[in-house]
Amino acid sequence: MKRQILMTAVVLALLPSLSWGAGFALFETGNKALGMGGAFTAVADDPSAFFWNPAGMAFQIDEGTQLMGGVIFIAPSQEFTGDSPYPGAGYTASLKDQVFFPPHFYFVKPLSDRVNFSLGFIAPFGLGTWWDDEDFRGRFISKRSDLMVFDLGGQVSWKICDRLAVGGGIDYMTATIELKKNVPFFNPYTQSVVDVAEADLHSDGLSNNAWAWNAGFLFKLPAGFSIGGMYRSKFTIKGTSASAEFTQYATGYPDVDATVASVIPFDEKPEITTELNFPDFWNIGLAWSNEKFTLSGQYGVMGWSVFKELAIQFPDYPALDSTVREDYSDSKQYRFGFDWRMSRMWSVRAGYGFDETPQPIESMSPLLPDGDRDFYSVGLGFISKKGNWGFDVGYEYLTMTERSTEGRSYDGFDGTFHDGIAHLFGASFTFKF
Amino acid sequence: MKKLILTTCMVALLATPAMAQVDFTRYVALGDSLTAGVASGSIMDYYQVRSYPQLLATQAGAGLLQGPFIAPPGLQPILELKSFSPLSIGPTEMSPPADPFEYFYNLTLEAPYQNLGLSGADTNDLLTKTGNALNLVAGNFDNVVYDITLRVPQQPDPNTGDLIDYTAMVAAIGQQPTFLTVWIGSNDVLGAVLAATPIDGITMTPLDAFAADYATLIGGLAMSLPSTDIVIMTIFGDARWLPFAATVPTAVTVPGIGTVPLMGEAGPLGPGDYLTLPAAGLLGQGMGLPIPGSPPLPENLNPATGAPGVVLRAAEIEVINERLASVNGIIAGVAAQFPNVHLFDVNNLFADVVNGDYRTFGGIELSNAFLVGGIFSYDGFHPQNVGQAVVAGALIDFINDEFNADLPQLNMYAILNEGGWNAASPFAAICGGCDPKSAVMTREAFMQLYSMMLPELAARWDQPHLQRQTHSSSVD
Repeated sequence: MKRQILMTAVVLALLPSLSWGAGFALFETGNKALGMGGAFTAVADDPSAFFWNPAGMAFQIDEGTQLMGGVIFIAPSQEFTGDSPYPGAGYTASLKDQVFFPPHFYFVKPLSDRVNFSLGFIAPFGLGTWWDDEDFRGRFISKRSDLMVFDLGGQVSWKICDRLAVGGGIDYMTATIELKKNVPFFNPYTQSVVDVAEADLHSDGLSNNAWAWNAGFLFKLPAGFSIGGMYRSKFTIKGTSASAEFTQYATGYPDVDATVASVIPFDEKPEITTELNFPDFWNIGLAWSNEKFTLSGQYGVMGWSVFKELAIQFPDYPALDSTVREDYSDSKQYRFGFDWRMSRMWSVRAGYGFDETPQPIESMSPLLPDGDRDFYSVGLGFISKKGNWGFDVGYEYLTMTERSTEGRSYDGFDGTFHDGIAHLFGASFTFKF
Repeated sequence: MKKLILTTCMVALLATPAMAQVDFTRYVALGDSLTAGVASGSIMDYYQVRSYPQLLATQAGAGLLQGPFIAPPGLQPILELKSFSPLSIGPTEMSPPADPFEYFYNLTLEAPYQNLGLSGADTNDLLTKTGNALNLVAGNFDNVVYDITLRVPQQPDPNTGDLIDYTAMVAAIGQQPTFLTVWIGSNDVLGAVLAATPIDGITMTPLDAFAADYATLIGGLAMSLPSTDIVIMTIFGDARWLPFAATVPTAVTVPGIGTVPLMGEAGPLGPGDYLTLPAAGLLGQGMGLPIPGSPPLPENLNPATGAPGVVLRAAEIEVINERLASVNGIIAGVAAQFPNVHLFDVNNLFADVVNGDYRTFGGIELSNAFLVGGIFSYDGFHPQNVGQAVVAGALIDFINDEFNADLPQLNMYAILNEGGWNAASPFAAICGGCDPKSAVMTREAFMQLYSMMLPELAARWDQPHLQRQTHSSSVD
C-alpha cells in the first residue's frame, strides 16, 4: 500500500491532475476561500482574490508585500454500475484511488497607496479519471485521462475611492493533456472483439497555451455590506504540439496482427491536433461583516456551452480522427460561507455550495462522468501576533448526485455513475513584509 | 376542474405500472434463413439458439424456442475462415454424427416448433410447402429443411377434422401464438444478388406474385389470429449492403500503369459495378484481368446450366434495389391494413449500420464490412451471432416503444466477446494446408449458399457433366 502511495505520488508529481469542480473546473485556489465554501467574491481579502475577485487586492494595500502559497489535496472516488446492452446490466467499476494536489502561489506588491500589483500561479481546470481494472469495459473510450491547466497571471487593482476598487489582469494558460484508451478490432477468426492496441494521446509537455483575461470590482457599502463581481474570460487551447503513441497487442493471429499494423502507425508517433474550449466564469457576491463575523453569498455562472465536442485529428492519418460529442450547457453555482474571528489570532469558517453540472447525461462517460455537486466546508485561520505571517487550513466534503445515462449515452456506455464523493484538504501559508 | 382532477386520478388508477404490455406466453417466429439463424452457409445449433427470435424470447422470459436443432458441423459443413491473409473461406472438415437422431437431435419433439424459420423460403413457400420427417428416415434429403422443421405433411383442421396441408403458416396458426414475428421476403429478391442476375421468375419472385402471396400470408395470419400481436419486418433495402456483393474490388493496381478496371464479359467494370465474392476465386485463377489471354468474368446466370454470374452491373443493382424498395413498400402497405399487425423496419436499422449512424457499444463500432465488421458471417449474406443480436436489440427497442413494454436489453458485452462457434478452438492462423491461390470463397462454400437460396439452379449446376461444359465461365 505504501509503495502504491509512493508510486502515485511520484507519478502525480510529474503530472498533477484531477476532476473535482463541475465539468472540469477547479476552484481550489486558497484555503480561506475553501473553508468558506468558495463564497469569496464579495470578501476577497487575501491573495486568493487573484482568482475570486482581483479588485479585492486593492483593499489589501495596507498589508504590504504578501507572499502566499499552498496546496489543496483532493481525494475523489466514484462508482459505476452498468446497464445493458453495453457494458451489461450489473457490471460494476470504480475509479482508482488517486490524490491530486493543485497548487497556488501568489505574490502581491503595492505600487502606490491606491494601486496593488499581483502575480499568481493556479490550476483553474483539471481532470483525472483512471479506471481500476485492466479489463475495464469502457477501455475503448478511456482507460485513463489527465488534463491540467495552469494559469500564470499578472493583475493590477486600483482603489478608486475608499469604497470602490476595480482590478484585472491577463492570464497565460498552459495545458497538459493525456488520454489512454484501447483500440478494438473484430477478430475475423474468433468473430469476437479483441484489443489490438493501446493508444496514448498526449500533449508534449506544457507547449500548448492560450491567453485569457480577468476583471472584477468590489464595492464596500455602508453598514458592513459589500458587493463584488468578477469575470474570467473563456479561452481556447489549441493542442498543436501533441502526438500519439500506439502499442500493438498481439492477437495470436499473425495475419490479423499484420493487417492491424498496416492501418495503425506503430512505428512512429503521429502528430495530433485538438482544440479545447474552456468556459468563461462570472460571479456576483454579497457579503456583510462586522468586527467578529463575515457572512457571504454568491451566484456564478460558467459558460460551459463552449464545450461542444472534443475533436482529435491526425493530420497524417485522417482515418484515425475522432470526435467526442460533449454538448455542455452553461452551469450555475451558489456558494455561502461565514468567517468567525474568535480572537485576534484565530478564525473559524464554514460554508456550503452547490455546483450544477454542465454535462448532459448523454455525454457522461468514463472519460468524464459528471453530476451536480453539493459541498460542505470548514476552515481554520491563524494570524501571528505581529500579523506578519499566518496560515489557513480548510476541509471540504463534496458529494456528486447519482446519475444514469438512461440508455442515451453517446458512447454507447450506459449505466449509473454513483457514490461520487471527494474529500478536499489543504493548507495555505501567507507571509507579509 | 374537480371533474378533471377526478378523471386524472381514475386514469392513474387504471393505468398499469410500467411493465410488459405484450404477451410472450406463446411466441412463434415465422421466416426464412434469417429467422432460422443460418450463419456461415449452414444451419447449426450454435447459431440457431442465437437467432433473433431466441434472443427476443429469452429477454421476454419465454424460455427456449423449440426448433429443428442440428448438431455441428451443421446441415452443410459450416464455413470456416481458413486464412485471413491470404483470404480463404471453406467448409469445415468436421463430419456430422452418423446417427440421424444425434444429428437432428430435436426431430422427435412431440410438439410443434416455435422457430419456424425455413432456410431458403420465399413468401410463397410459407404458404404452400410441407415436409415429412419420414423422408429423412428413407435417406431422402431433397426437402430436408421442411422435413426437419414441419415434420408432418398434413394435420387435421381443428374445426372440420379434414386433413389439410401442414404448411409453415398453418403450423404458426395452429399454435395460437400470443405473439408472432414474420420476417420474410428476402428470398423473393436476393437470389438475384447471389446469381448476379435479376430475372423475374428465376432469381426473383415477380412483384405481383409477391404482393399476392404476402397479402395472403399476413392477411391470413392477422385474421386467423385477431388477438395476436404480429410484428412483420422489412428486408435489407440495398444489394450493396451485403458483403457478398460489396467486398471484391472491381479494379487492380498494375505497377507502372495505375488502377485498371477488371473485365467482365460485357467489358471493363465501371463505376457502380460490383463483383460478388466468388469472383475473387476466378480472379485468383487469372480470369477477368485486364491482360491479353485472360478470359472475362462471367456476367450473368446461365439458366440452362445453372452457372451463376459474378458481375453485378450498376443497372442490375438498380433493378434489384428498385425491387427491394417495392417489396418493402408492399410490406409496409400490408402492415397498415390490420390493427394487430405492427411494422418493424429492419431496412432502416441496416441503413444506419451502413451509413455509420448505428450506435456504438462503448467505443466498439459495428459495420457491414466482410469479416471485420462484426455483423455478417463467413458467407457474406447471413448475419452471425452479433448480427442476430443487432436485429434482436433493435426489435426489443421497437417492441418496448410500440407496446409500451419493458423488455430488458441484451447484454452486448457478452455477445461481442463470446465469439463464433469455433472461437474456442481457433484454426492455425497461418494457412495450414490451404492453397493461397484458392478462392476467397471456395466453390463448396458458394454451393452451400447457392443450394440454400436457389436450389433448383444449384442442382443443375452441380451436375459434373455440366460443370465441365461450362468450365470457362464457372465459379470454381
